[in-house]
Amino acid sequence: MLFVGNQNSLRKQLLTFLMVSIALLSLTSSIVAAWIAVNQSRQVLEHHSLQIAGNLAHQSLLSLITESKENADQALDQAMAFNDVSGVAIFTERMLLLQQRGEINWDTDQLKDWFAHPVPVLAADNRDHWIITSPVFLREEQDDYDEFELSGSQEELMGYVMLNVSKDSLQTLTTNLFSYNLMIGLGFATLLVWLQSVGLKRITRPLLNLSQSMNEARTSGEHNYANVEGPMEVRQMAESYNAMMQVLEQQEDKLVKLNSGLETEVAIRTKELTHARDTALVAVRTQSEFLANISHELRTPLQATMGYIELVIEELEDEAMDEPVEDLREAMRASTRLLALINMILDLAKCESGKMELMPQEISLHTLTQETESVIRPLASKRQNAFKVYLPAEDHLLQVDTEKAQQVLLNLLSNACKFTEQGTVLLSASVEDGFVIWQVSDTGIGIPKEQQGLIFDKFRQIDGSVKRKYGGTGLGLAISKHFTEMMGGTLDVFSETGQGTTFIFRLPLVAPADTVDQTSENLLSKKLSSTDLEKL
Amino acid sequence: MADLKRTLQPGRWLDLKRLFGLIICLPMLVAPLSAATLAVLYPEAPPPYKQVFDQIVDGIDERHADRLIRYPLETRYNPEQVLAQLDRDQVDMVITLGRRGYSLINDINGHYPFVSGALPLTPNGTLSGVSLITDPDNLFSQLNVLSPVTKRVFVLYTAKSRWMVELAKVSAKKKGLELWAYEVNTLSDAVRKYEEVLDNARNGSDAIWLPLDKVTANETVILPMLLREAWDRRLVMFSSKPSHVKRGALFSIYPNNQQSGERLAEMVKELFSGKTMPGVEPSRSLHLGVNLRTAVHLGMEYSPTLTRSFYRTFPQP
Ligand SMILES: Nc1ncnc2c1ncn2[C@@H]1O[C@H](COP(=O)(O)OP(=O)(O)O)[C@@H](O)[C@H]1O
Ligand SMILES: [Mg+2]
Repeated sequence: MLFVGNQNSLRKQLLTFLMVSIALLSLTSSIVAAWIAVNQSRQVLEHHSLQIAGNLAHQSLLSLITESKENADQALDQAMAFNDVSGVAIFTERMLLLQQRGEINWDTDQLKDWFAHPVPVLAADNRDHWIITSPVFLREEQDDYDEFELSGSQEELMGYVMLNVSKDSLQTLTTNLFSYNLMIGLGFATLLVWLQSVGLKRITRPLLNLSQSMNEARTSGEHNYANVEGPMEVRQMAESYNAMMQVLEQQEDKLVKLNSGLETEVAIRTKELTHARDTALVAVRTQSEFLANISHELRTPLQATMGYIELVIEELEDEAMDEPVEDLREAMRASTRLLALINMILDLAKCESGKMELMPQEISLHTLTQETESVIRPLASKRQNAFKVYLPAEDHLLQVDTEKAQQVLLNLLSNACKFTEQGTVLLSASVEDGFVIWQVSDTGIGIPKEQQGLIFDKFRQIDGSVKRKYGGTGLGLAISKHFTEMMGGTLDVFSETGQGTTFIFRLPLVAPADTVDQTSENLLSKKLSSTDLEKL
Repeated sequence: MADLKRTLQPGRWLDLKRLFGLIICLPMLVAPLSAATLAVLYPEAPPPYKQVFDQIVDGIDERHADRLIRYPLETRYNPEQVLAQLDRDQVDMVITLGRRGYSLINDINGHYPFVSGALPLTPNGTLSGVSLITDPDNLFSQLNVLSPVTKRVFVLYTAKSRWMVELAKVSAKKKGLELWAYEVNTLSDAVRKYEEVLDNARNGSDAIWLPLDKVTANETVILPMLLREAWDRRLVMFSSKPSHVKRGALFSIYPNNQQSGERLAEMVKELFSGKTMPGVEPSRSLHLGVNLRTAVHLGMEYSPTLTRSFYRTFPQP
């Protein structure tokens, strides 16, 4: 019902609570009041009846002395004149009826009990009537002070009187009292409840308003302020709420400002970045295309030149002209080096412009490794390095771009030979988890830790002195890294300065199908490959 | 007494102390040396009854010049203690007042000469004292004064009051009144007889006398009935009991306490000296109480002089 539940409004709950309290209060008080009144009237009636009985006892003395019914009638009439008395009777001292009047019944057996008291008493309390009895005593004197008498005043029992007192008036009074009291109580309660309702409405209105504006603020998300009104507590709440709203508003303003500032900034930066990226991409592409074109244009006449030099060397050898032949062979070597350089630049350019393509083919691990070994062996001996090769006993069939894989290996090995003197260069191969792993180690000068991340950048060499001492272009590792990633592999370096260097080159046994385009997107990373540069 | 005698021995040096003692003892010297000590036993009563006993004792004191010792008795007094005290006090004669003192007479009898008062005593040959019962002669004298037309007086009595009625018969003859006296035994007899008397009584010349009798003057039944009937029939009704005047009897005689006291003192002295045995005397008081309202109702007219002579009148002004 209406009872105190969390869903109901404060006013409703208070009202319900008050209503129930008032109803209970008025009900209890009216019942209690009625009960007290009834009890009192009952006592009054009883007292009154006992008095009537006492009087009747007194009045009936004469009739009992004379045993005359006429005398009794007089006394009975007097008693019957009282409203609640519905019957009276006078008995002799032997409990025999002398005279009776009105409605009164008794049982002869009961009389002994009823007449056993020395004063007027309520002898029987029946549902609708009382039986009141009193003994009738004859006293010699009425004076209480008996010092002037020879013997004390004596009482003689003369008989009894009996009254039937109807409870009708008491019962009417009871019902009247209860009903009137209840009616008045309920009427009063209704009035009070109405007053409370009005009062509560007034008292709780500010609270309701406050809660409404809070609720609006919640649903709309706006910072609307509450009216400061009503009782002190509610005013305080409203003030606090308003203060809170103010702070929130200020903070939100700040946030909005900050946000919009940030947004514009980000937008500007993004635009700038996009622009820079596009420019860079375009630049790289243009550069690479240009390089590719140039390389091609350079290579064709260079190859033609080299063809002619070959022809001239052959003719001169036939004529046994050794001196010009030696010069021509020197020219031939320079041309070859130039061609290699051009090829490398071409490769790098192709990679960066995304035009390099993979051509996987089947080859045995042993074959690939041994071919590489045969190319490198003369190079190793050049600086009195020991060259060792370890192959797994079991051969594996690889499906890789053989040319590129071999170029990576050659690059690594040529570097190892180049930066090692009178040391050892080691090439080992193994197969693990679907990958072929080549390890190229040397006992050379090593690469400082801070340089290890940079050596894969194109044109990157450790420092000027190295470059001067060992020559080279700084393209080899860049191209190698490029190729490795194209083929879905990895290339890592481990080194200590002065101790030596180890490169780990891993390739999947079977080239992934979509590796072709992988690098074309990575144009921003600056990786190129170099292979034969060391030979040059 | 021994002390006193010694002080009186001649030749002895009298110091101041002895002189002082002599002065204190001087009043005793006035009385004869054979003076008797009188004890009065009376109840300690609440007012207004206390006054009655005080007046009687005053009367005794008035007549008795010698040593008088008062013994107020509490409601529950110890008779032995009182008797022992009497012994110690070397009492010579005793007067008892009221019922409380009267209850001691069996113990006193034979030890001390005694008389009793403040009780409705009836003569029995052995007892002496002054009764509360008024002498009918006094009543009839007053009747002649207050209601001169009355010729017949009706009275109902029981055996206990017979002596009084005998006195009354003698007195009535002297006063020129016809006394119609009926002896009854029970209350119902009395009621019936009264009804008969009332039916026959003649308004004017007849009067009803209520004696001091618990049956024929019963206060709960007879008195109300007679008061009502006498009022209705305009009959003169007078009573031996003073309190009945207030309730509507024409007149009664109040005891004269002082006088009773004096008479008691005389009587006990007579007994002590062994002269006579006075017996029980009725009250000879002349303190008249009159209900003026009843008198007016009966058509009596009293002169102011007469009215002024009344001891008490009702309704009280
Ligand atoms: N095995 C190695 N030992 C020491 N330094 C090495 C080794 N391999 C590469 N480097 C360093 O990395 C640089 C880049 O190598 P690379 O790309 O092959 O260019 P280049 O060989 O033309 O100098 C080299 O210049 C060298 O400084
Ligand atoms: Mg190199």
